[in-house]
Amino acid sequence: MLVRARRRFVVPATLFFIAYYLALPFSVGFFPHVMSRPVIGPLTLAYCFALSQFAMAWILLAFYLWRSRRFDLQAAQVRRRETRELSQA
Amino acid sequence: MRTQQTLVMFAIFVGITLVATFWASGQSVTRRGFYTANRRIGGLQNGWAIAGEYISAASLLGITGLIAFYGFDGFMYSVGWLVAYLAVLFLVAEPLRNTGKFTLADLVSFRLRGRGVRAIAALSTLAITLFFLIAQMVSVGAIANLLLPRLGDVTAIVAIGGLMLIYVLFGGMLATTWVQTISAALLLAAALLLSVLVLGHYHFSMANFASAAAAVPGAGHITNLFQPGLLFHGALGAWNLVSLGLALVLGTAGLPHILMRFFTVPSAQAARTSVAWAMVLIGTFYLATSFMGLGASTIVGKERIGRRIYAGDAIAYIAHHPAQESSLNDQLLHDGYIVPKPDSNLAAPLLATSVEGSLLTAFVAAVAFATILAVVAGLTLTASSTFAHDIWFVLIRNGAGDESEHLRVARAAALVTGAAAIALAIALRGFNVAFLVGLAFAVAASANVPVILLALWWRRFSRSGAILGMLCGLVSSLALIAASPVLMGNRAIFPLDNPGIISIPIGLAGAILGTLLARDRESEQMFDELQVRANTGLGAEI
Repeated sequence: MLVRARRRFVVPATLFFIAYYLALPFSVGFFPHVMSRPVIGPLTLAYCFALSQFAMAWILLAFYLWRSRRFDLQAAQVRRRETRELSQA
Repeated sequence: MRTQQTLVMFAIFVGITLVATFWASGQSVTRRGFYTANRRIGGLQNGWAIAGEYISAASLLGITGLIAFYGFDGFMYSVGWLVAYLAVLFLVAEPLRNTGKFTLADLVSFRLRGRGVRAIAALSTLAITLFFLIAQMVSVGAIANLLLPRLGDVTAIVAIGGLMLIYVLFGGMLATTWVQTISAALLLAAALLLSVLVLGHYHFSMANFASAAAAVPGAGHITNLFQPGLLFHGALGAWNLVSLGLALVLGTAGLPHILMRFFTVPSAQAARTSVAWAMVLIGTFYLATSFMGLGASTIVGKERIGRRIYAGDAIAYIAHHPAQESSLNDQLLHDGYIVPKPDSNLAAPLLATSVEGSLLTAFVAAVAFATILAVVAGLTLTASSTFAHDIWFVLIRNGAGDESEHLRVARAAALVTGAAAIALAIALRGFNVAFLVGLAFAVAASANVPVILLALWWRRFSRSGAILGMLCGLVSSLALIAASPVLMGNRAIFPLDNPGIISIPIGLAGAILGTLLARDRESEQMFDELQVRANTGLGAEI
């Protein structure tokens, strides 16, 4: 249960951040002209995308910290059950 | 004058950390104390220590310089260093805390019992650690030449190496942790102070700052520093970027000296908290590199970043180089000094000179040395634990021997590693060994990460898979670097500077192939035990 719940979060989150991160070198490397366009004042699309990676990392971090409270509760339940079984045996 | 100020500030740092070492020496009388500080480091402090272990002087001086000279392309590096921690957070930090004892090989051989797996895991740990250590120690000489020319590079290498050995030998993990914590605090302070002063120079207006940075001319068809392409260009520039990014973002989760820090905390929650703090600190630092780098190119100016030659020496230099006479004369007349060869590594210290003065410059230089000290201490401790625990205790002595023998071996290993690093750094002085860092990341990403992930997540994963995977990753990274333009120049067989994009799939394929070739029932049975322990902490080391 716990393992499956964890996997359901960790696998998509990992695939998402790797894809989001690799999108930066790909877009910059293969579409330099699009990425050189200024969007916010003189800031180019490339620079904004790079800055957004910091936001992405911190948001995913906060999201994981929030979700992991539930994992901790489940892990504590498993631990309690195990110790009870051990003491009965 | 500046040399003295730097040395005084560095001496204060050394004094404080030596007191911490003296106090820590009472605690590192057991193996557990020496390698893991008795698992009593809190999550918050471990976060600071991870930042201190991870952010090297190359980031403070090198990345700032790359952004000052190449704008966006330099900043690309900064992004990868932070995003990489998501892999550490999601995939390895907590299971590692619960299943590991002293070294990375402990995690892998938890379910894949046997000498072969441990031997190859120890080998790849040593390769990564030693590549890093040599790169760092050689950079001590280069930075000393740059920042403290009167001191001399050999003196600096011996001094840093000697201090590092004192921390590791007498204080073990606890002293190393304090050195890293304090150096991270200094590093953050220097980066934030410089960033605030840069913004202050533009009256705290982001718009003014951005338009000043946009006014710095690029090269060729690139008109300003916010545009990509100044550093990575040409047909293979894009693939180089992708390959580097892949090695960076996956490799961090396989760096033994970072992973070792997760053995020092009391629980999986504390391991998670420490990654969270580390990500806040590392992210803040790398965001600040943008302000420092762009600030250096706007306030100092690219053509003034480099070693400055004043008055009489400048006139003598111009007399010896008649070809550059007119431009150098203009510069001398205008600035009072000449910069014959721009050097991006001086961007941060010279920015400090421009926005404050010699005191801040000396502080930045002292912080650079403190940072190196923190990084090399952690690396030496990691190498020592692998030699003593994996190779000596498990492989040679088959688990025999008492506590005092283990500690003696661990200290001897640290001494030999440190002495060898000092000797190699002196011998390789002046060589450009920056490729060793890229190589270390490539080996970590190709040899360690596939095996760590499969060991944690794939039931069928077997011993032969682990051995073949690590061997393939290690050999392919080494071979591709040897055949790359970094070492072979124009005659390169392999066209990319970083092997990641090829060697990571090779490492993964080796691990899968090795597993499918032979069934390993014992390792499959151990998988359930590993899952329970990794996820709940039941039976974990406390």
